[in-house]
Amino acid sequence: MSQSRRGQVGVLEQMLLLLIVLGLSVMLFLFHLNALNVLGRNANERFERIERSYTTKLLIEDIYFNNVTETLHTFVTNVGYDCVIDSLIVDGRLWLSGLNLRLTYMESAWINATFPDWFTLTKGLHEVLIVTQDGLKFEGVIYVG
Amino acid sequence: MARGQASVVGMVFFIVILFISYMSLASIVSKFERLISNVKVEEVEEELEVKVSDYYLVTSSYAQSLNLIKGTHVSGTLSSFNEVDGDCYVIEGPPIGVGGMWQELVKNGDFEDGLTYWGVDASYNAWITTVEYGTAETEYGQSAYAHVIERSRWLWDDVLVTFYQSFTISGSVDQAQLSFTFKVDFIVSGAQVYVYIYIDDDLVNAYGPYTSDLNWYPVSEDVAEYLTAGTHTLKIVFRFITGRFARPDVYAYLDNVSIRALVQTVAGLSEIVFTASFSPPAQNFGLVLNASGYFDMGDPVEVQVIESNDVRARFVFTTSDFSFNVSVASAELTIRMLSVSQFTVHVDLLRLEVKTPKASFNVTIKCLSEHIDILRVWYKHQYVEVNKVLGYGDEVTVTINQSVDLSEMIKVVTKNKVHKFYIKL
Repeated sequence: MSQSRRGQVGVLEQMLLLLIVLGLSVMLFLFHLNALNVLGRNANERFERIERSYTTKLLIEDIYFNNVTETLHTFVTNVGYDCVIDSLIVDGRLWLSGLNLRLTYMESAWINATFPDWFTLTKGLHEVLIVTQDGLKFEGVIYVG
Repeated sequence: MARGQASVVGMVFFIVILFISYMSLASIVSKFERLISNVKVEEVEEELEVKVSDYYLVTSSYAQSLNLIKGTHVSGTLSSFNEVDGDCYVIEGPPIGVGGMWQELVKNGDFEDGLTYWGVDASYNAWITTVEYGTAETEYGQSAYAHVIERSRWLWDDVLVTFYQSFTISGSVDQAQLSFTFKVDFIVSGAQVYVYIYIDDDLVNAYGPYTSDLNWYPVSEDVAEYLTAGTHTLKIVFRFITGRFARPDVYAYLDNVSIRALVQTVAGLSEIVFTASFSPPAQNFGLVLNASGYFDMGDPVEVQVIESNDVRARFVFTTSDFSFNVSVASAELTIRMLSVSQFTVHVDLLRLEVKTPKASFNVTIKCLSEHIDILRVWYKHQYVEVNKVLGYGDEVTVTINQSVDLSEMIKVVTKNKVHKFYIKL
């Protein structure tokens, strides 16, 4: 092989290597950028959720169970940002859902859950959870005597 | 060749740098998230004081009945206790030394405490007859009863149900009067009912036979001849003779059993003892006994207020006028008065002051924090709007239009939380 021909191969070799390096670098950079974006989005969602949990505040002022009508009455006041109440859970069982009850700041409402005939609250303590559309839960306890 | 190697080394170095930077960023974000998650909003400290006031009315309950255990009734009726001018209930104490004193010998003769102090014997053939006894609600409150049902149509039985009580007399008896009432109710006829009265084993009298319903029948017997110093047993026997060819079902009731005896005693003290019953409203927050009047006396008189065999209060009066107030728990009170010389008491007033619940009460909330925004006060699932911001030491009073029930909580709702308080009066 002549001297000039060897020189051409060397340049090609160098350029190929440079292309590979540049390609890998760009790929890694894009991967890195995407990963950071995902990380950022997740973090943002979590921050928002944490923020919501601090700014959404419901006070369960009163709960009682009417044995005659077999209705659970819960009085709720919103002392935080506007929120939408979605469901009511009693002792881990979903009793009301799709309530779509929007409460603005300092707005109150009674939530009445009538139980089916075959179910009634027995004597003792029961846990009542009010769940917002954001998935935040607010706990109250009722004593049925 | 050396340049190519340098490029590869550069690329590897670049990747390492990118990887490290990525990991560092991820780690920083993760740590930050964790830090944010662990941040807790400190709950605002709120301190409140809640007081309940204006929750009761004072009403008066005068003595409904009086049972004179020791002493002699001179004059006056139950209405004399109602603080009527010039009208007193007068009781004379027995003289010191040997003297006569009226005593009630039968305890729980009205059966209001069930069969306390009483014994019951039933003699019957369990193959033929069913017998029940105890106390039941009648026109006289609680009364003792015996219930006999014959189960056989062909056989008959002779059933004896005996109510008995023993009593002790401390001296000889000048006079003694036994009294009681009984009635017979036939659910199904076909039996004969007799009533026998015994003191110890001596038959005092017999009544019957009764074969149909008999309304409350009063019995009064002079029993002085049967009573001497010592212990005796009064027996009231219901005898049911069930007939053949019938299955009778009979109730016999007994009430207001009393033996009043004038007993000769040797007394070192002149003593008046009586029991007064009141009918205050069942729901109340406390009772106070008020009494006033005057004594005809030569020596100081000690007055004891006795509740369930415990002396609740003791007063000594050295002047003729007396007046006292004492908190009590029961509506059945025994008053004992004693002196070293014979005396007479004129009771002008004997009543219970009763604190009864009002239809409403006041709740006063005092702020013990820097400031508190109070929204509402809850009681028995109803609320009263407050909507006031209180500074330290400020108070707000709200009226709850329900009567106080000590088993219920008062809830004070602030902008931060629901404060719960049990009512302490």
